[in-house]
Amino acid sequence: MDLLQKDVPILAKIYEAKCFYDSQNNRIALYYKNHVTARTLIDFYNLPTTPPPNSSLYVIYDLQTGTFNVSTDPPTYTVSNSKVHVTSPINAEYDMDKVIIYKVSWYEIDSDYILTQLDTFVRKQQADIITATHVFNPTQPGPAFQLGPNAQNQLIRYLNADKVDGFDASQTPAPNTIPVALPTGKLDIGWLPDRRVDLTGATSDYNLQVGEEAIIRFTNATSVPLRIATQSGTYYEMHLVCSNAGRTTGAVEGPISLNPNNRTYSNAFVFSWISRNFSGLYSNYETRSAFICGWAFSNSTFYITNYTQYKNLKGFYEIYGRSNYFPAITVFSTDWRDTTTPWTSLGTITFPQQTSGYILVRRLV
Amino acid sequence: MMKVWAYIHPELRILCCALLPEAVPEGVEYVELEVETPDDVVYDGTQIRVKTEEEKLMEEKQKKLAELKNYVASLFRPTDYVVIRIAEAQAFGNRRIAKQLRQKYTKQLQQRQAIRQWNEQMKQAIRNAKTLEELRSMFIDFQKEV
Repeated sequence: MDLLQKDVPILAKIYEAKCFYDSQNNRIALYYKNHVTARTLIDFYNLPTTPPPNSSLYVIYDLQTGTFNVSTDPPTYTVSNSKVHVTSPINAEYDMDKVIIYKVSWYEIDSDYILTQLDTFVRKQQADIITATHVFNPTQPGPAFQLGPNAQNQLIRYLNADKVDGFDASQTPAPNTIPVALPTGKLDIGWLPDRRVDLTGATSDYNLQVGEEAIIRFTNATSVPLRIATQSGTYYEMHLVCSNAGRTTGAVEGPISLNPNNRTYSNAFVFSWISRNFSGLYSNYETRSAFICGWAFSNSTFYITNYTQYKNLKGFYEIYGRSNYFPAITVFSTDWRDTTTPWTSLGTITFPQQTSGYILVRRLV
Repeated sequence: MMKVWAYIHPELRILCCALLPEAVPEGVEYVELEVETPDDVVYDGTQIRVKTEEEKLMEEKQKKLAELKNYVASLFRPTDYVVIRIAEAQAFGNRRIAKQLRQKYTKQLQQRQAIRQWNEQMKQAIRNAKTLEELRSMFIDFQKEV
């Protein structure tokens, strides 16, 4: 074999080319490596007929178009001004570094050698095992490779995908991370969103979602607006926790009320209660102008039903701050007997004296 | 003290006290008042106003008397069976058994008498109270041992 342009020094530095005759496939195989880009390429030319034995083949390969000219006749050409002028068997002109002119000698035909050489390349139409680590580095920014339609939505075995849409996965909660179940099959609790909203000092009604809870803190207050929007068909759990010191004196006798829609409705409520304090057991059934949910200083737990046609508070509270209390327990239920007025704002809690503490409201339905 | 905006509900025709100014329905006439509790506001048929001290005192007395009545009933309840047994014996004309029961339950009967006396004293004290403070400082608590 012979690279006929070896008398052109600059070209030899750019390309290293080898050309073989593959007798099994009756074709010419051209391997060439560009030393500038460090890329090795292969191209084939299927011969229309089997070349005569003991003869040489001459190859003119246009690097720009990837076209072969193969002939048993030696080409005639001249080199001048960085151009290669071919006059036979074709008439053409090439840039010096855009053409390979090669002589393939008959004695070089060695199909085993060619097959061995082929193993060093990735063949386009034959499955091979690639043991080398290849780098996909496009000449311009862009995807390293693409999948054809037949490969879409196909599972790739053993592929431990590092990221999905650019995010890592983890069992440990972290920002911008995809959650993975623990060995128990459950997610770490830290993945779940904080479902508490602080409505202390809110100035407009918040639309509490199912499962979400609100906290409202208050200090020395006689009136605490909850600032929670509500509607027919909702259901809530509420905890009213007073932080005033536990004692048997100092509290004013009087109700702690939940005023729906932030207002009273004169004598529209009925309050039923049973209470046990130091002195004994009491009960009553009385008309009120708001829901009653505590007395004096209280720690109260109750549930709120809001249907426009049926509105109720029921629960229990501990009373302290009076001589007969600390502790005292009251079980109660209050109905708003109006069946047509919509309850749209959960309302305002009023206390019989300045009270401190917090209120937790969790929407269940 | 807290501020309330009192008005007559246009549909329900009842007194309402808004605890926030925006809780007053649009276009409704209201009265702005400073009160200890919304329960201090009253509509007397002609105007919305704060209850007078006398009205509050009367209301508080009623509550206190109701509380006392409730309490005294709970004190009597554990020994009601004594009175019932004696009354039954008398109803059937069995004076001897009635007398025996009175002797047997002397202590309980004396206690009931003491409760009744205490109840009368308390009722009188409530009725005689001149101020809310005086009324609120009264504790309804019978602890007399017989």
